[in-house]
Amino acid sequence: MFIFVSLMGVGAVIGYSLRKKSAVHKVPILIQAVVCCLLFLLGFSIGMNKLIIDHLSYFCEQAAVIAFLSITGSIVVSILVYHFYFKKGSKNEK
Amino acid sequence: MKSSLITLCCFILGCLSGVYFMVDIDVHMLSVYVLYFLMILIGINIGSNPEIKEFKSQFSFKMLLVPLATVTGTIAFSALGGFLLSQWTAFDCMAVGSGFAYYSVSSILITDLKSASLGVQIATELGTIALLANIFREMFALIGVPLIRKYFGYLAPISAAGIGSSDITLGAIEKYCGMSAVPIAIVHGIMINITMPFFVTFFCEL
Repeated sequence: MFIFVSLMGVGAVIGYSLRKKSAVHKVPILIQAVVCCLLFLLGFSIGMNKLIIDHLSYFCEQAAVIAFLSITGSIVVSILVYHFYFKKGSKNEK
Repeated sequence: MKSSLITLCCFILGCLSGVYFMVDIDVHMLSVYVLYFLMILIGINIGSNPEIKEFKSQFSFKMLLVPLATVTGTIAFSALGGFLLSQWTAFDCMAVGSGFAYYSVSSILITDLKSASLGVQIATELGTIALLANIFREMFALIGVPLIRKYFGYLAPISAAGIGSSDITLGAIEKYCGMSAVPIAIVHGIMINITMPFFVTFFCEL
């Protein structure tokens, strides 16, 4: 856990010190490329795994359950936050 | 939307390559090293983001309640998945939910971090569920903005979008919630971006 958070922290320090260099603003493109590479590798390891490929619909069902729960949860709590903290200053809303 | 489709295509291409080709290299270890590189790049992107300074003037502590609501609601409701899905514990479901629609990084993190405790096979299954669950969330949040705004209020589209509130869903949020929602959506996206790796790794290690 600390390796990932530490690496991100190191990156943030590097990014802050290089924020005025134009090259640093191309990092999102590099991130996109690395993410594509990682997803290719993840897909590759899944594709090699016959058990997962044979049960893909089963995984889709489980993913749909967690996606539904996470969206519902965030919406429910955001409604509460809106009613208790934001409703008074809602003049600028559309 | 275009970048989502590209990343989805890479995943599908990887799946097809895995089905039809065999390689001798350790794909898992290779993905760990590429992931380390990605974490540094994400850090650089956050550190060099000019929007952080720009929104400093518009920032109020009340804005932090929105990412807090997203995190609390997502994690609390995802835990219910532990009761509905017999194969996974509440912590596994919370780790999947903690992706907050950041499907690429969260699925890879979960696969890598869970390999030690669950084994590569089960960890890859959970990583696949994380990828699909967070893709579903992003797609639903993007397509459903008008309906979510209409039936659940001003902040609900921002919260439902998770990490996408500051990029992919921002245009739709501005259109349906108004300009006043844009700073909230950007602060929300940045906060979720910063906290996502922490929550995913935290729940993976429980």
